[in-house]
Amino acid sequence: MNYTEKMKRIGEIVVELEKGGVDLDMTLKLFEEGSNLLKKCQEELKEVEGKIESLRVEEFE
Amino acid sequence: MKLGNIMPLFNNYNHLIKNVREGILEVGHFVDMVRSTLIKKEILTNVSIMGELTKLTLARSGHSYFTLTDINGSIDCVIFNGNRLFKSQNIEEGMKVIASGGIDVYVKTGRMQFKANRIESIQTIGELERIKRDLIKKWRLDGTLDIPKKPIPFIPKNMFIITGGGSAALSDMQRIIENRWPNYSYKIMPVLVQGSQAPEQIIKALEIAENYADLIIVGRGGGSPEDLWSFNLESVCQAIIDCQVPVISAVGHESDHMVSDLVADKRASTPSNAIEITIPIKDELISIIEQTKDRFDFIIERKLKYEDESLTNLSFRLSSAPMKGIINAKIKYNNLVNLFNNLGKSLMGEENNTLAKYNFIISSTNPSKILERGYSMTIDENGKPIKSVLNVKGGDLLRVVLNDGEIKTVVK
Repeated sequence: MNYTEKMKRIGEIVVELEKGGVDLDMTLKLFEEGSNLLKKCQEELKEVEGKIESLRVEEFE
Repeated sequence: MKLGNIMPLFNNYNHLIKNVREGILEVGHFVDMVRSTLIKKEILTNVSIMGELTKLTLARSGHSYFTLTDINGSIDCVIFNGNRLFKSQNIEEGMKVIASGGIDVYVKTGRMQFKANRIESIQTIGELERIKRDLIKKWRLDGTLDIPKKPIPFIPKNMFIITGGGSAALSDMQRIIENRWPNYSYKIMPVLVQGSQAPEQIIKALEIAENYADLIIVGRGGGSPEDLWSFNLESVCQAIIDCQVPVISAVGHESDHMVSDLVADKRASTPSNAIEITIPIKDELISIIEQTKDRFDFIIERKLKYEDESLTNLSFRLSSAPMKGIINAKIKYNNLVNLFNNLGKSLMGEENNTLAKYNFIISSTNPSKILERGYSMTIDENGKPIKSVLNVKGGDLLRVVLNDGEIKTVVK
């Protein structure tokens, strides 16, 4: 799953949970899945930010 | 004809001249002065002139007399002992020729003529055009003109310019390069761009440049069709086709279309134009790069910020999202607990009622309770209740049960 797909899935989970039609077992399961995806997304975003910082080009003299 | 021959004449008429008016020249003297003036000019005595050959006379003496003409003028010409030149080259009236020699004036008649020592025919422009057309047709048919063009490098690193050394075209190109990209480094290969040696030099220069260059500009400034002709020659154009490095053909003016333009990887309308399409303006380039970099930075910055925000937002929503599920679960649990408790209560209540009822029934039917109120019960000897007088006879022994004891009695 790439970054966008993960973000989309988290969005779906949040909407599902916010609707409130989910039982407790499922709530835990979805929350667990969402948290894991979120953690991965944060790591990936941080990595991208770091890479972009290292790719920055110097100004002309 | 010589000055010496005229002077005696001059002297003979000297007294007459003086008689008429001071400063008047004898005609022979005047013509001779004209001749002397003309033949002193290097440019008039060592020159080649081109025109159409007319009025050709090959005299018995071996001398050749003719007139050269073009639309603007004409001049009588002579080649002493020139008949063999005409015969060996098959030069005839109507041809376009180049005669080399110098001006002279025949004093006796005052006739100006061109004294040539050499004459050669050149192919007419019509013929040259035909050759050019045939070459283009040949290369169109055999696919040479469809060979894919090599791309022109963006900012060439090793640009070679093949053109006339010290030519106006070259200095134009040098000036424009310096204006567009100060201190830009490139190589110049000076060659002859017209005349019989031009093709060979241009071909040789292309072959050498090919080993070092990443772009070759070959060309020259404007001139007559004949001047430009090297760039219509099959040999020169073939060298351009064979060159492994991209070649720009930059010949003459905008209106000149050469075969080299067709076979080169790109046509420049003029030598100056070749530089304009090859060398970017350095300052403009830097400014474009800087602007692009700024925009790029801005876009990346905005994208990262957006991703950061959506992640934070999602994270916030996710952290509170399960509450709904948990609260719902708690509500359901509580409902269930209430239900259960209530059920218990109502069950207990029913039980109590039943108990009380039973209690009432039981207490209301207990015989001992009735005895308390003053009633008594009669039983026989076996303890069997006596419910009717018909069930006893005289002499039966009965017991009367009262609240606090029994009375034994006999029926009478």
